[in-house]
Amino acid sequence: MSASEGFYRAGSLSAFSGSDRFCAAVNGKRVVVFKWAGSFIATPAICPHAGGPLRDAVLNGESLSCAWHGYNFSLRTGECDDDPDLTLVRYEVRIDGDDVLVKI
Amino acid sequence: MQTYDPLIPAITRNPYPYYAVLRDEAPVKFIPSLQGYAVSRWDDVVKTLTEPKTFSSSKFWPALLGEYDPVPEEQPIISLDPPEHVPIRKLAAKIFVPSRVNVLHDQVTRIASEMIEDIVRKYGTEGEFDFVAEFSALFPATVISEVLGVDVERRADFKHWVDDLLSAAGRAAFPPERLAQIERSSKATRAYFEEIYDRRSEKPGNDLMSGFIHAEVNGQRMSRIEVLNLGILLLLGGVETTANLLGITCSMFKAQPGVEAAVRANPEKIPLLIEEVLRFDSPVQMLFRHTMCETELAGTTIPEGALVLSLLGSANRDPRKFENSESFDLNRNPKEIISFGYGPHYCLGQYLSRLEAKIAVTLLLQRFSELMPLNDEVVWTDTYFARGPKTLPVRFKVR
Repeated sequence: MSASEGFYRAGSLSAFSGSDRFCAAVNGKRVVVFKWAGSFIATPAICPHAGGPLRDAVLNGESLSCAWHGYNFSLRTGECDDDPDLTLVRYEVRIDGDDVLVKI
Repeated sequence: MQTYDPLIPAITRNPYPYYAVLRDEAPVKFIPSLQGYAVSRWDDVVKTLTEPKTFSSSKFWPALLGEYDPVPEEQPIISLDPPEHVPIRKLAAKIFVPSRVNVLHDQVTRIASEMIEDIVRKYGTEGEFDFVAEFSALFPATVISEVLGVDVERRADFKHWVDDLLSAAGRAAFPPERLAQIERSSKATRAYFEEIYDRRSEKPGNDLMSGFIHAEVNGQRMSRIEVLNLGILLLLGGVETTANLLGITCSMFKAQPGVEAAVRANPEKIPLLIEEVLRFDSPVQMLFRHTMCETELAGTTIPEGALVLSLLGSANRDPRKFENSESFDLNRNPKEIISFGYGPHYCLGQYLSRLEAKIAVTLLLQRFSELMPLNDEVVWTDTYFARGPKTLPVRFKVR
Protein backbone atom coordinates (compact mmCIF):
# COMPACT_ATOMS: atom_id res chain seq x y z
CA MET A 1 0.00 0.00 0.00
CA SER A 2 1.63 3.23 -1.08
CA ALA A 3 1.54 6.46 0.86
CA SER A 4 0.62 9.77 -0.67
CA GLU A 5 1.12 12.72 1.68
CA GLY A 6 0.91 10.20 4.52
CA PHE A 7 -2.47 8.88 3.40
CA TYR A 8 -2.97 5.15 3.03
CA ARG A 9 -5.93 3.32 1.55
CA ALA A 10 -8.14 1.74 4.24
CA GLY A 11 -10.79 0.39 1.87
CA SER A 12 -13.57 1.46 -0.43
CA LEU A 13 -16.74 3.36 0.50
CA SER A 14 -18.63 0.11 0.10
CA ALA A 15 -16.76 -1.18 3.19
CA PHE A 16 -19.26 0.73 5.31
CA SER A 17 -21.99 -1.49 3.83
CA GLY A 18 -24.85 0.28 5.60
CA SER A 19 -22.91 0.77 8.83
CA ASP A 20 -21.37 3.93 10.26
CA ARG A 21 -17.94 2.26 10.58
CA PHE A 22 -15.54 -0.35 9.31
CA CYS A 23 -12.28 -1.85 10.58
CA ALA A 24 -9.09 -1.97 8.57
CA ALA A 25 -5.35 -2.45 8.82
CA VAL A 26 -3.65 0.73 7.63
CA ASN A 27 0.13 0.96 7.38
CA GLY A 28 0.45 -1.80 9.97
CA LYS A 29 -2.08 -0.34 12.39
CA ARG A 30 -5.59 -1.56 13.15
CA VAL A 31 -8.06 1.31 12.85
CA VAL A 32 -11.78 1.95 12.82
CA VAL A 33 -13.06 4.41 10.23
CA PHE A 34 -16.23 6.25 11.31
CA LYS A 35 -18.76 8.08 9.16
CA TRP A 36 -19.89 10.86 11.40
CA ALA A 37 -21.88 14.09 10.90
CA GLY A 38 -21.44 13.98 7.14
CA SER A 39 -17.71 13.56 7.56
CA PHE A 40 -15.19 10.82 8.25
CA ILE A 41 -12.66 10.20 11.01
CA ALA A 42 -10.53 7.21 11.96
CA THR A 43 -9.35 6.04 15.37
CA PRO A 44 -7.15 3.23 16.66
CA ALA A 45 -9.05 -0.05 16.93
CA ILE A 46 -8.73 -0.20 20.71
CA CYS A 47 -9.82 2.15 23.46
CA PRO A 48 -6.99 4.07 25.20
CA HIS A 49 -8.55 3.27 28.60
CA ALA A 50 -8.31 -0.52 28.79
CA GLY A 51 -8.06 -1.83 25.28
CA GLY A 52 -11.75 -2.32 24.53
CA PRO A 53 -12.67 -2.82 20.85
CA LEU A 54 -13.87 0.49 19.42
CA ARG A 55 -15.58 -1.30 16.55
CA ASP A 56 -18.24 -2.12 19.18
CA ALA A 57 -18.38 1.39 20.67
CA VAL A 58 -21.67 3.29 20.76
CA LEU A 59 -21.67 6.49 18.69
CA ASN A 60 -24.06 9.15 19.92
CA GLY A 61 -23.62 12.53 18.21
CA GLU A 62 -19.91 13.24 18.46
CA SER A 63 -19.55 11.09 21.57
CA LEU A 64 -18.00 7.64 21.20
CA SER A 65 -18.67 5.37 24.19
CA CYS A 66 -16.51 2.26 24.59
CA ALA A 67 -18.57 -0.90 25.04
CA TRP A 68 -16.29 -2.33 27.75
CA HIS A 69 -16.31 0.36 30.42
CA GLY A 70 -18.39 3.15 28.92
CA TYR A 71 -15.58 5.71 28.70
CA ASN A 72 -16.78 8.56 26.47
CA PHE A 73 -14.54 10.27 23.92
CA SER A 74 -15.28 13.19 21.63
CA LEU A 75 -14.66 12.24 18.02
CA ARG A 76 -14.20 15.95 17.32
CA THR A 77 -11.48 16.68 19.90
CA GLY A 78 -10.40 13.28 21.22
CA GLU A 79 -11.09 14.43 24.81
CA CYS A 80 -12.35 11.92 27.35
CA ASP A 81 -15.28 12.86 29.62
CA ASP A 82 -14.30 10.29 32.22
CA ASP A 83 -10.55 10.79 32.53
CA PRO A 84 -8.89 14.04 31.44
CA ASP A 85 -5.57 12.21 31.17
CA LEU A 86 -6.87 10.07 28.32
CA THR A 87 -7.07 11.20 24.71
CA LEU A 88 -8.41 9.30 21.74
CA VAL A 89 -6.01 9.54 18.81
CA ARG A 90 -7.82 10.54 15.63
CA TYR A 91 -6.60 10.11 12.08
CA GLU A 92 -7.62 12.36 9.24
CA VAL A 93 -9.68 10.65 6.52
CA ARG A 94 -9.89 11.69 2.89
CA ILE A 95 -12.18 10.26 0.21
CA ASP A 96 -10.65 9.89 -3.24
CA GLY A 97 -13.24 8.58 -5.67
CA ASP A 98 -14.30 5.30 -4.09
CA ASP A 99 -11.20 5.02 -1.91
CA VAL A 100 -11.19 5.78 1.81
CA LEU A 101 -7.73 7.10 2.71
CA VAL A 102 -6.43 7.43 6.28
CA LYS A 103 -3.48 9.63 7.27
CA ILE A 104 -1.18 7.70 9.62
CA MET B 1 0.28 -37.30 38.35
CA GLN B 2 -3.51 -36.98 38.65
CA THR B 3 -5.35 -34.87 36.11
CA TYR B 4 -6.26 -31.35 37.27
CA ASP B 5 -9.55 -31.36 39.15
CA PRO B 6 -10.27 -28.39 41.42
CA LEU B 7 -12.68 -30.42 43.53
CA ILE B 8 -9.81 -32.57 44.84
CA PRO B 9 -8.48 -30.75 47.94
CA ALA B 10 -4.88 -31.93 47.46
CA ILE B 11 -4.89 -30.32 44.00
CA THR B 12 -6.50 -27.09 45.21
CA ARG B 13 -3.83 -26.77 47.92
CA ASN B 14 -1.14 -26.59 45.21
CA PRO B 15 -2.65 -26.42 41.73
CA TYR B 16 0.48 -25.12 40.03
CA PRO B 17 2.12 -28.42 38.95
CA TYR B 18 -1.25 -29.45 37.49
CA TYR B 19 -1.57 -26.14 35.66
CA ALA B 20 1.88 -26.72 34.09
CA VAL B 21 0.75 -30.09 32.74
CA LEU B 22 -2.45 -28.55 31.38
CA ARG B 23 -0.57 -25.76 29.61
CA ASP B 24 1.84 -28.21 28.00
CA GLU B 25 -0.44 -31.11 27.19
CA ALA B 26 -4.06 -29.95 27.14
CA PRO B 27 -4.39 -26.14 27.17
CA VAL B 28 -8.17 -26.47 26.84
CA LYS B 29 -9.35 -29.50 28.80
CA PHE B 30 -12.78 -30.75 29.78
CA ILE B 31 -13.03 -31.24 33.56
CA PRO B 32 -15.74 -33.86 34.21
CA SER B 33 -16.36 -32.96 37.87
CA LEU B 34 -17.27 -29.36 36.96
CA GLN B 35 -18.60 -30.15 33.49
CA GLY B 36 -16.50 -27.32 32.11
CA TYR B 37 -13.46 -26.58 29.95
CA ALA B 38 -10.33 -25.42 31.79
CA VAL B 39 -8.31 -22.85 29.80
CA SER B 40 -4.74 -22.53 31.06
CA ARG B 41 -2.50 -20.51 28.70
CA TRP B 42 -2.17 -16.72 28.93
CA ASP B 43 -3.25 -15.90 25.37
CA ASP B 44 -6.26 -18.20 25.54
CA VAL B 45 -7.36 -16.93 28.97
CA VAL B 46 -7.14 -13.34 27.67
CA LYS B 47 -9.29 -14.37 24.71
CA THR B 48 -11.98 -15.82 26.98
CA LEU B 49 -12.07 -12.57 28.96
CA THR B 50 -12.06 -10.13 26.03
CA GLU B 51 -14.51 -11.68 23.58
CA PRO B 52 -17.84 -11.49 25.40
CA LYS B 53 -19.84 -12.28 22.27
CA THR B 54 -18.28 -15.75 22.34
CA PHE B 55 -17.38 -16.12 26.02
CA SER B 56 -20.25 -14.61 27.98
CA SER B 57 -20.28 -13.57 31.65
CA SER B 58 -24.05 -14.00 31.81
CA LYS B 59 -23.88 -17.19 33.85
CA PHE B 60 -20.88 -16.21 36.00
CA TRP B 61 -22.89 -15.67 39.17
CA PRO B 62 -25.05 -18.79 38.76
CA ALA B 63 -21.88 -20.84 38.10
CA LEU B 64 -20.16 -19.43 41.19
CA LEU B 65 -23.04 -19.29 43.66
CA GLY B 66 -25.72 -21.58 42.26
CA GLU B 67 -28.78 -21.67 44.50
CA TYR B 68 -26.86 -19.75 47.18
CA ASP B 69 -27.03 -16.40 45.34
CA PRO B 70 -28.32 -13.96 47.98
CA VAL B 71 -30.05 -11.86 45.29
CA PRO B 72 -31.19 -14.33 42.64
CA GLU B 73 -33.86 -12.02 41.18
CA GLU B 74 -31.38 -10.17 38.96
CA GLN B 75 -27.76 -10.62 37.98
CA PRO B 76 -25.12 -8.16 39.25
CA ILE B 77 -22.86 -6.32 36.81
CA ILE B 78 -20.17 -9.02 37.05
CA SER B 79 -22.66 -11.34 35.38
CA LEU B 80 -23.82 -9.00 32.59
CA ASP B 81 -22.21 -8.69 29.17
CA PRO B 82 -21.38 -5.37 27.52
CA PRO B 83 -23.05 -3.05 26.88
CA GLU B 84 -25.69 -4.00 29.53
CA HIS B 85 -23.17 -3.84 32.37
CA VAL B 86 -21.88 -0.38 31.41
CA PRO B 87 -24.35 2.05 33.12
CA ILE B 88 -24.02 0.63 36.65
CA ARG B 89 -20.34 -0.18 36.19
CA LYS B 90 -19.69 3.44 35.24
CA LEU B 91 -21.46 4.61 38.36
CA ALA B 92 -19.38 2.32 40.57
CA ALA B 93 -16.19 2.96 38.62
CA LYS B 94 -16.32 6.67 39.45
CA ILE B 95 -15.74 5.74 43.09
CA PHE B 96 -12.77 3.49 42.36
CA VAL B 97 -10.71 5.64 39.98
CA PRO B 98 -7.18 6.31 41.32
CA SER B 99 -7.89 9.95 42.20
CA ARG B 100 -10.85 8.96 44.41
CA VAL B 101 -9.09 5.94 45.92
CA ASN B 102 -6.01 7.99 46.82
CA VAL B 103 -8.27 10.20 48.94
CA LEU B 104 -8.80 7.10 51.10
CA HIS B 105 -5.06 6.84 51.86
CA ASP B 106 -5.28 8.41 55.33
CA GLN B 107 -8.42 6.46 56.24
CA VAL B 108 -6.82 3.14 55.20
CA THR B 109 -3.61 4.03 57.08
CA ARG B 110 -5.62 4.82 60.24
CA ILE B 111 -7.50 1.52 60.06
CA ALA B 112 -4.31 -0.52 59.55
CA SER B 113 -2.49 1.31 62.38
CA GLU B 114 -5.39 0.77 64.80
CA MET B 115 -5.56 -2.92 63.99
CA ILE B 116 -1.81 -3.38 64.46
CA GLU B 117 -1.98 -1.60 67.84
CA ASP B 118 -4.92 -3.85 68.81
CA ILE B 119 -2.65 -6.85 68.16
CA VAL B 120 0.10 -5.37 70.35
CA ARG B 121 -2.41 -4.67 73.14
CA LYS B 122 -3.76 -8.22 72.92
CA TYR B 123 -0.52 -10.19 72.47
CA GLY B 124 2.19 -7.98 73.98
CA THR B 125 5.49 -6.96 72.46
CA GLU B 126 6.45 -10.40 71.21
CA GLY B 127 4.91 -13.82 70.79
CA GLU B 128 2.59 -15.49 68.35
CA PHE B 129 -0.77 -14.71 66.75
CA ASP B 130 -2.84 -15.84 63.80
CA PHE B 131 -2.16 -13.33 61.04
CA VAL B 132 -5.40 -14.24 59.23
CA ALA B 133 -7.73 -14.10 62.23
CA GLU B 134 -6.21 -10.97 63.74
CA PHE B 135 -5.29 -8.93 60.68
CA SER B 136 -5.65 -9.98 57.07
CA ALA B 137 -9.24 -11.23 57.34
CA LEU B 138 -10.45 -8.13 59.16
CA PHE B 139 -8.48 -5.24 57.68
CA PRO B 140 -10.03 -5.20 54.17
CA ALA B 141 -13.43 -5.96 55.71
CA THR B 142 -13.04 -2.87 57.89
CA VAL B 143 -12.00 -0.68 54.96
CA ILE B 144 -14.85 -1.75 52.69
CA SER B 145 -17.33 -1.53 55.58
CA GLU B 146 -16.41 2.10 56.21
CA VAL B 147 -16.47 2.93 52.50
CA LEU B 148 -19.75 1.13 51.84
CA GLY B 149 -21.41 2.42 54.99
CA VAL B 150 -22.17 -0.90 56.66
CA ASP B 151 -21.59 -1.65 60.34
CA VAL B 152 -17.86 -2.09 60.97
CA GLU B 153 -18.56 -4.02 64.17
CA ARG B 154 -20.12 -6.73 62.00
CA ARG B 155 -16.88 -7.16 60.01
CA ALA B 156 -16.21 -10.66 61.37
CA ASP B 157 -19.71 -11.67 60.21
CA PHE B 158 -19.05 -10.17 56.77
CA LYS B 159 -15.83 -12.18 56.39
CA HIS B 160 -17.62 -15.32 57.51
CA TRP B 161 -20.51 -14.75 55.08
CA VAL B 162 -18.18 -13.96 52.19
CA ASP B 163 -16.04 -17.05 52.86
CA ASP B 164 -19.15 -19.19 52.82
CA LEU B 165 -20.61 -17.60 49.68
CA LEU B 166 -17.40 -17.94 47.69
CA SER B 167 -16.95 -21.52 48.84
CA ALA B 168 -20.28 -22.29 47.15
CA ALA B 169 -18.22 -22.80 43.96
CA GLY B 170 -17.30 -26.20 45.39
CA ARG B 171 -20.87 -27.09 46.40
CA ALA B 172 -20.88 -30.25 44.26
CA ALA B 173 -18.39 -31.84 46.65
CA PHE B 174 -19.80 -30.55 49.98
CA PRO B 175 -21.75 -32.53 52.61
CA PRO B 176 -25.27 -31.36 53.62
CA GLU B 177 -24.15 -29.63 56.82
CA ARG B 178 -21.65 -27.47 54.89
CA LEU B 179 -24.33 -26.58 52.35
CA ALA B 180 -26.70 -25.63 55.16
CA GLN B 181 -24.05 -23.28 56.54
CA ILE B 182 -23.64 -21.63 53.12
CA GLU B 183 -27.41 -21.19 52.88
CA ARG B 184 -27.52 -19.54 56.31
CA SER B 185 -24.76 -17.12 55.28
CA SER B 186 -26.52 -16.33 52.00
CA LYS B 187 -29.77 -15.52 53.81
CA ALA B 188 -27.95 -13.50 56.49
CA THR B 189 -26.18 -11.43 53.79
CA ARG B 190 -29.48 -10.67 52.06
CA ALA B 191 -31.28 -9.81 55.29
CA TYR B 192 -28.48 -7.52 56.41
CA PHE B 193 -28.34 -5.58 53.14
CA GLU B 194 -32.15 -5.26 53.09
CA GLU B 195 -31.85 -3.68 56.54
CA ILE B 196 -29.05 -1.36 55.41
CA TYR B 197 -31.11 -0.32 52.39
CA ASP B 198 -34.01 0.68 54.65
CA ARG B 199 -31.75 2.49 57.12
CA ARG B 200 -29.89 4.44 54.44
CA SER B 201 -33.10 5.26 52.55
CA GLU B 202 -34.55 6.79 55.68
CA LYS B 203 -31.36 8.49 56.84
CA PRO B 204 -28.69 8.84 54.13
CA GLY B 205 -25.05 9.07 55.17
CA ASN B 206 -21.82 9.96 53.42
CA ASP B 207 -21.25 6.43 52.19
CA LEU B 208 -21.59 4.33 49.04
CA MET B 209 -24.83 2.56 49.93
CA SER B 210 -26.53 5.92 50.50
CA GLY B 211 -25.00 7.14 47.24
CA PHE B 212 -26.24 4.12 45.30
CA ILE B 213 -29.77 4.44 46.68
CA HIS B 214 -30.00 8.02 45.53
CA ALA B 215 -27.88 7.85 42.37
CA GLU B 216 -29.38 8.03 38.92
CA VAL B 217 -28.29 5.79 36.04
CA ASN B 218 -29.51 6.91 32.62
CA GLY B 219 -31.88 9.32 34.37
CA GLN B 220 -33.42 6.63 36.57
CA ARG B 221 -32.82 5.62 40.16
CA MET B 222 -31.40 2.13 40.61
CA SER B 223 -33.94 -0.39 41.81
CA ARG B 224 -33.73 -1.83 45.31
CA ILE B 225 -32.51 -5.12 43.85
CA GLU B 226 -29.80 -3.38 41.79
CA VAL B 227 -28.54 -1.57 44.89
CA LEU B 228 -28.53 -4.79 46.94
CA ASN B 229 -26.66 -6.57 44.16
CA LEU B 230 -24.03 -3.85 43.86
CA GLY B 231 -23.51 -3.54 47.61
CA ILE B 232 -23.11 -7.30 48.07
CA LEU B 233 -20.80 -7.55 45.04
CA LEU B 234 -18.53 -4.83 46.44
CA LEU B 235 -18.53 -6.50 49.85
CA LEU B 236 -17.58 -9.83 48.28
CA GLY B 237 -14.87 -8.25 46.18
CA GLY B 238 -13.60 -5.96 48.92
CA VAL B 239 -13.40 -8.52 51.69
CA GLU B 240 -12.03 -11.67 50.20
CA THR B 241 -9.46 -10.87 47.56
CA THR B 242 -7.42 -8.34 49.53
CA ALA B 243 -7.56 -10.53 52.64
CA ASN B 244 -6.12 -13.38 50.61
CA LEU B 245 -3.54 -11.12 48.97
CA LEU B 246 -2.27 -10.06 52.40
CA GLY B 247 -2.32 -13.61 53.76
CA ILE B 248 -0.41 -14.94 50.78
CA THR B 249 2.09 -12.06 50.99
CA CYS B 250 2.83 -12.87 54.63
CA SER B 251 3.14 -16.58 53.80
CA MET B 252 5.81 -15.67 51.23
CA PHE B 253 8.02 -14.32 54.05
CA LYS B 254 8.52 -17.98 54.99
CA ALA B 255 8.11 -19.68 51.62
CA GLN B 256 10.55 -17.38 49.82
CA PRO B 257 13.64 -16.97 52.02
CA GLY B 258 15.21 -13.55 51.81
CA VAL B 259 12.11 -11.75 50.54
CA GLU B 260 11.13 -10.29 53.92
CA ALA B 261 14.68 -9.07 54.56
CA ALA B 262 14.88 -7.58 51.08
CA VAL B 263 11.72 -5.48 51.47
CA ARG B 264 12.71 -4.48 55.00
CA ALA B 265 16.02 -3.21 53.61
CA ASN B 266 14.30 -1.55 50.64
CA PRO B 267 10.69 -0.61 51.52
CA GLU B 268 10.35 1.01 48.09
CA LYS B 269 10.20 -2.59 46.82
CA ILE B 270 6.90 -3.26 48.61
CA PRO B 271 4.84 -2.47 45.47
CA LEU B 272 7.06 -4.91 43.54
CA LEU B 273 6.43 -7.53 46.21
CA ILE B 274 2.66 -7.04 45.91
CA GLU B 275 2.75 -7.34 42.11
CA GLU B 276 4.87 -10.50 42.16
CA VAL B 277 2.67 -12.08 44.84
CA LEU B 278 -0.36 -11.29 42.67
CA ARG B 279 1.32 -12.97 39.72
CA PHE B 280 2.86 -15.92 41.53
CA ASP B 281 -0.08 -16.95 43.70
CA SER B 282 -3.22 -15.18 42.53
CA PRO B 283 -5.93 -14.61 45.18
CA VAL B 284 -8.53 -15.35 42.50
CA GLN B 285 -7.62 -18.55 40.70
CA MET B 286 -10.27 -18.59 38.00
CA LEU B 287 -13.22 -16.83 36.41
CA PHE B 288 -16.22 -18.40 34.74
CA ARG B 289 -17.52 -17.82 31.24
CA HIS B 290 -20.08 -19.60 29.02
CA THR B 291 -19.84 -20.06 25.28
CA MET B 292 -22.51 -18.33 23.22
CA CYS B 293 -21.69 -20.46 20.15
CA GLU B 294 -19.49 -23.39 19.24
CA THR B 295 -15.92 -22.17 19.12
CA GLU B 296 -12.38 -23.45 18.79
CA LEU B 297 -9.67 -22.57 21.27
CA ALA B 298 -6.12 -23.94 21.19
CA GLY B 299 -7.25 -26.63 18.78
CA THR B 300 -10.12 -27.84 20.95
CA THR B 301 -13.74 -27.43 19.95
CA ILE B 302 -15.92 -26.09 22.76
CA PRO B 303 -19.67 -26.56 22.19
CA GLU B 304 -22.27 -23.79 22.55
CA GLY B 305 -23.49 -23.26 26.12
CA ALA B 306 -20.42 -24.79 27.75
CA LEU B 307 -18.89 -23.64 31.03
CA VAL B 308 -15.37 -22.25 30.56
CA LEU B 309 -12.95 -21.99 33.49
CA SER B 310 -10.46 -19.21 32.75
CA LEU B 311 -7.51 -20.19 34.96
CA LEU B 312 -5.97 -16.88 36.04
CA GLY B 313 -3.55 -18.64 38.37
CA SER B 314 -2.22 -20.69 35.46
CA ALA B 315 -2.04 -17.81 32.96
CA ASN B 316 0.12 -15.89 35.44
CA ARG B 317 2.59 -18.81 35.42
CA ASP B 318 2.63 -19.33 31.66
CA PRO B 319 6.27 -19.48 30.50
CA ARG B 320 5.08 -18.24 27.10
CA LYS B 321 4.33 -14.95 28.87
CA PHE B 322 6.82 -14.77 31.77
CA GLU B 323 10.47 -15.78 31.84
CA ASN B 324 11.22 -18.26 34.64
CA SER B 325 7.51 -18.18 35.29
CA GLU B 326 7.57 -20.74 38.11
CA SER B 327 10.11 -18.70 40.11
CA PHE B 328 9.22 -15.96 42.58
CA ASP B 329 11.27 -12.92 41.61
CA LEU B 330 10.90 -9.85 43.81
CA ASN B 331 12.48 -7.68 41.12
CA ARG B 332 10.38 -9.01 38.25
CA ASN B 333 8.02 -6.01 38.13
CA PRO B 334 5.50 -7.73 35.85
CA LYS B 335 3.91 -5.10 33.66
CA GLU B 336 0.88 -7.20 32.89
CA ILE B 337 -0.79 -9.70 35.23
CA ILE B 338 -4.23 -11.19 35.02
CA SER B 339 -5.01 -11.56 38.74
CA PHE B 340 -7.68 -8.84 38.58
CA GLY B 341 -9.15 -10.20 35.36
CA TYR B 342 -9.01 -8.54 31.97
CA GLY B 343 -11.37 -6.85 29.54
CA PRO B 344 -14.84 -5.47 30.26
CA HIS B 345 -14.98 -6.92 33.77
CA TYR B 346 -11.48 -5.88 34.85
CA CYS B 347 -11.69 -5.60 38.65
CA LEU B 348 -13.19 -2.29 39.76
CA GLY B 349 -11.42 -2.42 43.10
CA GLN B 350 -7.89 -3.16 41.93
CA TYR B 351 -6.52 0.30 42.84
CA LEU B 352 -8.05 0.07 46.31
CA SER B 353 -6.78 -3.48 46.81
CA ARG B 354 -3.23 -2.51 45.85
CA LEU B 355 -3.38 0.59 48.05
CA GLU B 356 -4.57 -1.44 51.05
CA ALA B 357 -1.89 -4.08 50.53
CA LYS B 358 0.89 -1.53 50.16
CA ILE B 359 -0.14 0.41 53.26
CA ALA B 360 -0.66 -2.72 55.37
CA VAL B 361 2.68 -4.33 54.48
CA THR B 362 4.51 -1.03 55.01
CA LEU B 363 3.01 -0.49 58.47
CA LEU B 364 3.41 -4.13 59.55
CA LEU B 365 7.11 -4.13 58.69
CA GLN B 366 7.58 -0.76 60.40
CA ARG B 367 5.89 -1.87 63.64
CA PHE B 368 7.21 -5.42 63.85
CA SER B 369 10.92 -6.19 63.66
CA GLU B 370 9.91 -9.83 63.25
CA LEU B 371 6.85 -11.13 61.46
CA MET B 372 7.38 -14.68 60.30
CA PRO B 373 5.00 -17.61 59.72
CA LEU B 374 5.69 -20.48 62.11
CA ASN B 375 5.04 -23.32 59.71
CA ASP B 376 6.39 -24.27 56.32
CA GLU B 377 3.01 -25.67 55.30
CA VAL B 378 0.11 -23.26 54.79
CA VAL B 379 -3.47 -24.28 55.61
CA TRP B 380 -5.42 -23.03 52.60
CA THR B 381 -9.12 -22.17 52.42
CA ASP B 382 -11.34 -24.88 51.00
CA THR B 383 -12.49 -22.99 47.90
CA TYR B 384 -10.85 -23.43 44.51
CA PHE B 385 -12.16 -20.11 43.20
CA ALA B 386 -10.40 -17.86 45.70
CA ARG B 387 -7.03 -18.77 47.21
CA GLY B 388 -5.59 -17.72 50.55
CA PRO B 389 -4.49 -19.03 53.93
CA LYS B 390 -7.25 -20.17 56.26
CA THR B 391 -4.98 -19.58 59.24
CA LEU B 392 -1.39 -18.34 59.36
CA PRO B 393 0.25 -18.52 62.80
CA VAL B 394 3.15 -16.06 62.94
CA ARG B 395 5.87 -15.17 65.40
CA PHE B 396 6.17 -11.43 65.96
CA LYS B 397 8.29 -8.95 67.84
CA VAL B 398 7.57 -5.26 68.21
CA ARG B 399 10.33 -2.98 67.02
